Amino acid sequence: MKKNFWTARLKTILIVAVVLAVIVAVILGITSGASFGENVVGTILSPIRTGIAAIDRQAERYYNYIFGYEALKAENAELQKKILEMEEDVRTAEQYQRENEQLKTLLGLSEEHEDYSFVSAYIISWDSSDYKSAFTIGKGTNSGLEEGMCAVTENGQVVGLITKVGVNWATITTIMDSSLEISASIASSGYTGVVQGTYLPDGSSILRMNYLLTDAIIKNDDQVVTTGSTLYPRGLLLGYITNASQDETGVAKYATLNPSCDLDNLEQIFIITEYANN
Amino acid sequence: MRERYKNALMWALYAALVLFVLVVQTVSFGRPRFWGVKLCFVPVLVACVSMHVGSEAGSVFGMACGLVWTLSGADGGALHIVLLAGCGAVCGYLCDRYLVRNLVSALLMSLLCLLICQLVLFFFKCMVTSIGIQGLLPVLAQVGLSLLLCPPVYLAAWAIRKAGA
Repeated sequence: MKKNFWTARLKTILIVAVVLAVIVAVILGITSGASFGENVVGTILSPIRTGIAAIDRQAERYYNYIFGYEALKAENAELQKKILEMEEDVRTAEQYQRENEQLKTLLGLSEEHEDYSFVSAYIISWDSSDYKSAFTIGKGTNSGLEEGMCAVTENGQVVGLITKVGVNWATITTIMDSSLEISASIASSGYTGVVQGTYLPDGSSILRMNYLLTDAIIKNDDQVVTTGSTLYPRGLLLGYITNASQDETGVAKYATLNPSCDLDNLEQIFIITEYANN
Repeated sequence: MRERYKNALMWALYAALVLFVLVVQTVSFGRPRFWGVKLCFVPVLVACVSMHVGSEAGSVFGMACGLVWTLSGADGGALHIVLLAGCGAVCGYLCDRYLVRNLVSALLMSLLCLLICQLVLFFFKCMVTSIGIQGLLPVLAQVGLSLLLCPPVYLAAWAIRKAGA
């Protein structure tokens, strides 16, 4: 016997369903906030949802670990790129900070020597020879540089002189090089001499002040400064006396100096382009 | 006595399955969209259970599912109570009368239930909101994708039915 779809029981069930739907709709419509039924269902479902959500999160982690490897790899690469960019920003900021500090110090020097005009430049290369102390900067005649101009640190310590100059580059021979002779004097006593770099037999170099009078009274830690010339101003610090002795000829004294500037850690220098030559 | 116990156990397990499917639908698949649509599993569950328990019991089951779903905040509200009750009745009747209870039938019944529920809801939304007929395509996509859960739900419903037999 074929079973009829529209049985009395089914009709009753469907009528109940319609009535129930209407009642629920009305209750949900007139109730502000959660109705009693919603509270019951929500209360029952909440711990289940919490549990399933925890499982779901764990499963998602495993899924991401297994299937999201390539995406994570790409994300990692992207993040590394960002880190490199940020590190570059930090480096730039640190560089600017250093430059700022140097310029502040230089400002003090400028205030002290109002007649000085400076051009700042960064060292871009060093001479590779063991017997030459020179480096190249990234500025040249296009910045107003000329041969013979004096390079100093932000504190006014002499670094060297420009010995070659191009359009956008210049070579600075440092005070430690033997080819450079700078007229100098001891600040406290006024004894004059010539400061020159000297290479020792072991390959190291020292800074010497030659042609001092034999009766000159020389004290350690005395400051040696430039006497000035047509190439560089007077009063720039060259170094501090560490020792003194008779020279090889016996007719003069010489003093060894500790250079005032730290050549090994130089980054930026300042070229004195103009000064009042009194 | 043993038969009544088994019957009670079966309905208890079906109730647990309803809660599980409802929670999975709202927790695990509530956030992600697949091709722009979210998946809907409750009509599939009603179809799979109804084809095992018959039209009358299926109708009651559908009504209960609709009620729980409505009270848990389903979009479409109390409409689901009537729709799922009707779906349960139709699926149970068709399986009793014309179909063999297997996975293919479950897929067909699930498709039917999903189409009825989602299309009625879609046309209801068309009337009360500004959704146009162009929104029909996502509905069909949702129906198709939701069918993917039919096999595990069918297996679960079949196993529970065997436990209660």
